[in-house]
Amino acid sequence: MPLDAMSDESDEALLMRYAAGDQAAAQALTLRLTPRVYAHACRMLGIPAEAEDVTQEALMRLWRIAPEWRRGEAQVTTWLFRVVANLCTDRLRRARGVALEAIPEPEDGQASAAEQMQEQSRAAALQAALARLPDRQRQAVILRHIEGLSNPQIAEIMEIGVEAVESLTARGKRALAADLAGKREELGYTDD
Amino acid sequence: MTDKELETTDLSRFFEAAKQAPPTPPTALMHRVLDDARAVQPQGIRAPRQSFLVRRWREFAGAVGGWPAMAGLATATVAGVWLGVMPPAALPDATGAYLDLGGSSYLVDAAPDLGFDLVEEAL
Repeated sequence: MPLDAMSDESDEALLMRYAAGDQAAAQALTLRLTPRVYAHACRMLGIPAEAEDVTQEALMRLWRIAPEWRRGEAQVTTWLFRVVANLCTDRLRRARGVALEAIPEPEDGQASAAEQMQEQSRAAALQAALARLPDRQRQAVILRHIEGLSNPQIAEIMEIGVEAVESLTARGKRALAADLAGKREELGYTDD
Repeated sequence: MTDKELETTDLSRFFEAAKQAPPTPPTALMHRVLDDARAVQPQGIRAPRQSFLVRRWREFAGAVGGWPAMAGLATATVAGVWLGVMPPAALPDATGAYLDLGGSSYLVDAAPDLGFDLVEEAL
């Protein structure tokens, strides 16, 4: 599959072209947005198969809304992350009663499933720690510190105020720091 | 080490590691998403088919130099008609001279014997 050849065009411009029937725009948007949506869904859900379903569904909603998209009203990525957030929340709520409780908490010294897959890497350790955060804290931390979005953007995605976003990220980071503190030596960190 | 110190030192490295190794979407997923996009994509709006006269008119306009040249031709035409209808006093009345409006006119009957009465008689 060729690379995104329209890298100089904004997401919104491409979406307008998609809505006008431009097939190249469909391909460019797919190449550009699918990896971001999938990565975010993966980090939120921790289960690749579930993340695939969420990705396909979120993008399908984008394709369907394209003809009615109002230029300048919202950023495409902000809109998309909000859809992904809602889809992930729905799945997490449905799963909470059964699957998540069925998964045993990782014991000290025993690698989690994510860590086993990614060979004890730092990213895997972070993923495992993120999975232990409350949903809203996890979402805020991922959007702020991994996706690199601004607090106002996150507030729009999560439909809360900016102060609430700051509070969620601060609490999330404290919890992550406490969780990861015991793994510092294991991951090759020494006291600075 | 305090929580704050942990946040500023270790966590940033964990986040950086996560950014460097994002989960990669399977190729099959990329294809499914693209198939969805194409399946529900609105069809492009086609330009209405132009009639023969419109096409010939556009060809003519293009041949004489496009719309700027056509505008010049139209202006010259309107100016010519206006001068013909309302000539300035300094100019001779070309229309009147051509039709000889100031002189005498003659009515010549080329076939004086031919008339409707003959047709009636024939019936």
